[in-house]
Amino acid sequence: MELFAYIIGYFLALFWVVVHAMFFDPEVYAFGSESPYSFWLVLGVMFLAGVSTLLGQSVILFINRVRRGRFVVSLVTNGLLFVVQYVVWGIVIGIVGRFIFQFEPQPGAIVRLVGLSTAPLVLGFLVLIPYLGAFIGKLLNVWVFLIQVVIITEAFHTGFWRGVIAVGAGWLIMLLMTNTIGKPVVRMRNFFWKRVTGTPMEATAQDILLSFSGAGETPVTEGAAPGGSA
Amino acid sequence: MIELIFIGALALLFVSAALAPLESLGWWAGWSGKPPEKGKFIEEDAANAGNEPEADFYLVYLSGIGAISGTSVPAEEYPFIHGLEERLVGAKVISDIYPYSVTNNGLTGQRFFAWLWKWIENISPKSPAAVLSFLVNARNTMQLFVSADRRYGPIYNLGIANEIHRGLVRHGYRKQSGKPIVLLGWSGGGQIAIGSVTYLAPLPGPIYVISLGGMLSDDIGFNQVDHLWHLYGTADPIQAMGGVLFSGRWTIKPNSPWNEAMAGGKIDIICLGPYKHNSAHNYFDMTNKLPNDKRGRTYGQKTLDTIVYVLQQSDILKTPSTVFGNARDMPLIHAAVMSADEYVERTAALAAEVAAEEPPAPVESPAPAEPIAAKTDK
Repeated sequence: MELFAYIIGYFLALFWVVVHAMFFDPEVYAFGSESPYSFWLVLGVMFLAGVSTLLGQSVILFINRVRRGRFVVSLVTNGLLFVVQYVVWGIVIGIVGRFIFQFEPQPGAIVRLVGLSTAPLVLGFLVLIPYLGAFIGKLLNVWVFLIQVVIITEAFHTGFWRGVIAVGAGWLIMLLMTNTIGKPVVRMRNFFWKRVTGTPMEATAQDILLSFSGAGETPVTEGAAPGGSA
Repeated sequence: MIELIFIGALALLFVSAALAPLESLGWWAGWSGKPPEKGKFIEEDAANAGNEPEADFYLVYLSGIGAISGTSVPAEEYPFIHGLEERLVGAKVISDIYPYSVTNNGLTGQRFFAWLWKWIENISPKSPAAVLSFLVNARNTMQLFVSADRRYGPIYNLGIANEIHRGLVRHGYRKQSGKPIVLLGWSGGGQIAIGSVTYLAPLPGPIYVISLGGMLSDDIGFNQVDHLWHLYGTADPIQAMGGVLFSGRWTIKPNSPWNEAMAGGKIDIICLGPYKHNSAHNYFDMTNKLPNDKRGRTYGQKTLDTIVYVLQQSDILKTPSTVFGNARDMPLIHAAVMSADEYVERTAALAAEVAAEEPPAPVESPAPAEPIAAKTDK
């Protein structure tokens, strides 16, 4: 019973953190940067954001006919990978800030704050919404970026534009790392990902069109149309 | 409290919208049965082929967002469908396809919320609860957008095309003959009709689409359709929303499928007059007469006349229409949504009452089609 109450309490606190982080509440940022107790809550935010983000983009899993069980495992896996990705990003932003602007973040504080910035991505599942979803996805990414800038600006007194530069530089370095020294890590992640989903994850919506509409390499006479032809 | 209700309703709307594509995605992934496979449809459809004689052409009617299943559409549409059957001599009118489900599974079919849809279906139109029929519209509107979405459209439209093909074969269509296929989509059915063209195009015969107040996107089906006629009313803002919501229909995108089809003369946009999308004075209104119509026709009759006109003009309808006015004389039963069976029963009862009161009116001779008010043919 005590465990149940603890779990309920945790999720209520998580809900509070997500909502307040999304609406730029300085109180929750202060909690994230100063209190080591915020660790599990920030972890929860990042994990939920990862799960929800993949849910929003799950059309690719469906197109590749990932089975139900593997679908759930894929969501959980993406949640965990999301945590790793944002922890690394937080470290990178911390290093960038230390070298360029000489701000001295507390160990772990910058990582927790960057983790909090993923709060809007808890709504990432809304990318599933037909037609409007792609726009919502862009909106959420801009939202995350703005929270990161506000966090850096407020927590380390860098000023708005210096905050923008720190976050932007962090993003650029992450991109560079992914395409250079991070390649083996990316390959390992992709390998792991294929194992989890159980498919090569190569099919796209375009392939369905080409295959079934007769517009691709397959002759119409071999039954490309639904119901086929000849 | 009001704030909480508002936020809750908004959250429910967004979550419902996010869940909308899952039915078709699950179908493709094989979560709800065997996943669709290329070429497999041929064997299944051949086994289910009907023995009906082949028609000159096939007209598949795809209902609007108020439809509950292939056999349960808003009551006002039945006289219209009957009018099509009467006028399109030599054609086969197919109206049992439910365009808002990739498996032709109506809302009252095997579904978790079937009880809810059945309850809505049975609500009397006079009941205050009839307003809940908007849930049907909301649910089906989401499916319209699934069809128009480039991420989901390739899957959704494949499922619908598959069901259309099954319907065609069931009603005597033989693919070797290459008979023309006309998809007549009303409202949301217009988008779904053009969406399914991509997959029906490999069939040997030509594929035409008639959009009746349809909210059309810039679907890739425009690349392969032989011709599309869009019939609209000047008092119908809903069909006009297609040109606003879907950026591929804006003139700033000249290479979109819609704009290329327009430039290629594949689209005729035909104004019917002061038609509304819903209620009185809509495309199916067989009661109210058009203002200033020389032949004194109702709104619905002119819709039928115009459809006959474009089909005759395109040489799809070769047999002259010999019936005029029968759809007008069909008793119209007002109800929000009614099943086909119930409609037939109640219509027969009403017709018997009318017959008992007065002698039957003679069938009028066919009238020439009125020149189209506005036609764009680039």
